[in-house]
Amino acid sequence: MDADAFASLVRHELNNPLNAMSGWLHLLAARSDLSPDMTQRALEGARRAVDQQIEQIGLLSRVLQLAGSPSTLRITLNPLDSLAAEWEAALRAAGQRVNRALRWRHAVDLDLSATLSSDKAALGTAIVQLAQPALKHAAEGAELQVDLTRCGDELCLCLSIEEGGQNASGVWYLLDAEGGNLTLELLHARLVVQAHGGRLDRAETAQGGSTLQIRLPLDGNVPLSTSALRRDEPPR
Amino acid sequence: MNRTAPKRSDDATAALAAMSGQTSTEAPDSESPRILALDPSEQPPRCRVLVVDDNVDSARSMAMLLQLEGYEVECAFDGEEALARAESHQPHAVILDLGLPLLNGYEVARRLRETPALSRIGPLLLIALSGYGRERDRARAAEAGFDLHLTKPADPNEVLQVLARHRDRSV
Repeated sequence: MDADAFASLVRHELNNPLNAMSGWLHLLAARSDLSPDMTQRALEGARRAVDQQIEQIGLLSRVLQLAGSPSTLRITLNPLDSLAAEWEAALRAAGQRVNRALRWRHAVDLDLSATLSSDKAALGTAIVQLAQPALKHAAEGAELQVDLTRCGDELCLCLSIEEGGQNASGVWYLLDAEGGNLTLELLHARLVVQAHGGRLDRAETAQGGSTLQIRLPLDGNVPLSTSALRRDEPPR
Repeated sequence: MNRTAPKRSDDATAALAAMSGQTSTEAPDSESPRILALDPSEQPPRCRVLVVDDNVDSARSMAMLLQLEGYEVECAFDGEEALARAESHQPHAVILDLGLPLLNGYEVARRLRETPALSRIGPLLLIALSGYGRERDRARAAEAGFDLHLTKPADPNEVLQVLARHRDRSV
């Protein structure tokens, strides 16, 4: 992402909550005919916008840190089983907040005692951030499927949604900086994955679904094997 | 896919000219005063506006302001919902964010311009309201069929002026 595109993104992301604040404050300041209920809604709305702005500034700070020095991450050797358990719990919690069902599967012979060098907290946050477009914007009732497999020397966490929506070109098109849709949250997540030596691949399915693969390099001596998925696990 | 440039409304062209300080080629409105007291049975149709923004507070605050000004307002929070609401609400004007989930604002604008039913009720005014304000963003918006590009944070009075001009000319 070039400097011009980054400046444009920052401006966009900070001006969004500012626009909401400005809208509510204009109502409070310029309209004498607001009902008590409207006044209350305006005050609550302004408060939410302030919170959003605080969140965006925090994200911007973390993005700048990561872009300037990826070594700010605290990389440690983490067993895959604990990472997977944390990712699953975090994704389930995020899904529950928006009433989105989640199906978690991992390869039957995936060696969960293996290790992944990672900043556990940052990577967990990034994975939930990357799931947000599907959690929030996929068609109602569509289930988020998460598959954990090994692809060569990489661990692959694949997020899939069967129905992106009637007109959707894929819920993860928001990651496309050229489309003018990237958010600071998704940029942060992308930088975290890249700082781990990983990458993101997104694709649309013929059925209107969408997938995002988060690929992370495994530690060199990890004896993982590619295998069929445990497909019999019912959604929880 | 090849697309011809979407057609803008004449009112919007005038609005654009007014916003940019250019002189409109149209004659100014009649100097006759407005008749404020109307028989309720003769109330003119209200101007319908669709506000589309994935920032719910941006959309809601704009909607509340426009409702207080007498507009009939609906909100949508993603691109797909915008198209569905436009079909049911038949707006005279759409205030549309560009960075929308599912279908971005440019694509929504293109599809709205390609919907014949929306032009039957009169010229449709399409206003881009976005945090993106580079020249290339403005050019892309114009190409998609927007009449006007406003950058966030928007001046509510500016939005009201543009809508009032459009309402007076077309509703």
